[in-house]
Amino acid sequence: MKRTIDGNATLEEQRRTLRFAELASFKKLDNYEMGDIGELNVASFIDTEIGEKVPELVILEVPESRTPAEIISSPFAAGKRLIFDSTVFIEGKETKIVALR
Amino acid sequence: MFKKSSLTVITIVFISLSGCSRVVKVDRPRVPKVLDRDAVNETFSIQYAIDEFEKDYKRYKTLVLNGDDASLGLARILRDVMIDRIRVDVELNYREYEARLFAGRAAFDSVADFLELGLALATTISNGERVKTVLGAVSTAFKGNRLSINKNFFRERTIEAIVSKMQESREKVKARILRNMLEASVKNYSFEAGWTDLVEFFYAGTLQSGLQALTADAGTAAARAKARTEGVEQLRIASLQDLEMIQKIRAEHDKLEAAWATARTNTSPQAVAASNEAITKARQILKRLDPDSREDLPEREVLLRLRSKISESLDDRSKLVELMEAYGIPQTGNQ
Repeated sequence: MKRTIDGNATLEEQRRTLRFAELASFKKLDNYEMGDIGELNVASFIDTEIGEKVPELVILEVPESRTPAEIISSPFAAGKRLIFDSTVFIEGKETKIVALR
Repeated sequence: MFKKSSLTVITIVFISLSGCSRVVKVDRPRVPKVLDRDAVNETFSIQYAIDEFEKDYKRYKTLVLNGDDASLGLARILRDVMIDRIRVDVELNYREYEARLFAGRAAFDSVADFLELGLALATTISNGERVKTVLGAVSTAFKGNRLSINKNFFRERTIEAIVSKMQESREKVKARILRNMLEASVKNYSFEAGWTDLVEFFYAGTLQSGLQALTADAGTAAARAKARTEGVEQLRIASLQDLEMIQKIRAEHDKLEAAWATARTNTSPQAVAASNEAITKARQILKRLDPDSREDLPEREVLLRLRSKISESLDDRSKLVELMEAYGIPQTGNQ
């Protein structure tokens, strides 16, 4: 399943929307990337099994001075697993993110 | 034949160039003795010598073969020490390499700029057509060589971009090594596994690796550009209330699925009773949401139909209230 999300929204609004979509659709986020038209991001979801628990989604912005690897190894990411890192629109600006759960 | 004045100009340009290269020496602060890999005395060397490594590695193998808890604990300490010592060597060599890359590229660019400017100046002020032609040809050849070096060695990338990629790749491997050292015993992360990671760590800090990572990034960027939005439905931004409601609905629904799924593998009377109770409740909820639904639907089908009903809230948030009611979830004032 693919859906677009307004890239002008804040990081928390987009994270909340992605989590809402995961819970409502019984799927889990697999990738999130910039779309080819306007400031839209494209979310790709994959199916989950009956009874499968999908842990809370965490999306962290990667500051320009840091690398995704540094964020992944930081205390913020402790105990979480990396889903992907990518660049998306956040509040209309291209922003590097890492997604964990 | 070059005229005397042309030769003088060229000579001045080259002399000034060689002077500049000495005056403009931007390298790095002095390396502290304890971080200087060349600072060796009779008793101590910062470098991990081969004979030292051999001794440590034999001791490590013996401890691992002993296999008792105490030996494995010591082996783990030794593993970490060996990995750290190799890491120090790799780190020191990398920093020197990185500094040389910056300095080498800057020096090459500066000399090339001066030469180009010098040749252009000499061509302009020299008399005689033949001298102009010769200098023009030399200038063209020089520009070609510069372009060739840029293309073949640096793939027309800046050193900053390449080094940034090298650092990123190194950080990834380093984080993995440190995590394994922190969390894993020698059974789960042997020295040999760490050794393999160290090889990767070393090669992540090479010019080739940096260029490869940049190329991969360019590929990702190209792929990213293809993420089509045409025909893909847009999700409305979820409010806090939307999220809270779906979380409550899913919590109730997941209980039903968990009870049913447990009874697939656990056939104890309690598990079967809990499953039956969950399915009865699921049928009631489905009936509230879809009065026309059949009452003899297979159990799995009931749960899947409920999933489908919940999924409708993805694009129609008014369904959330209906679902809350059907699942018997009390609504708070702000919902």
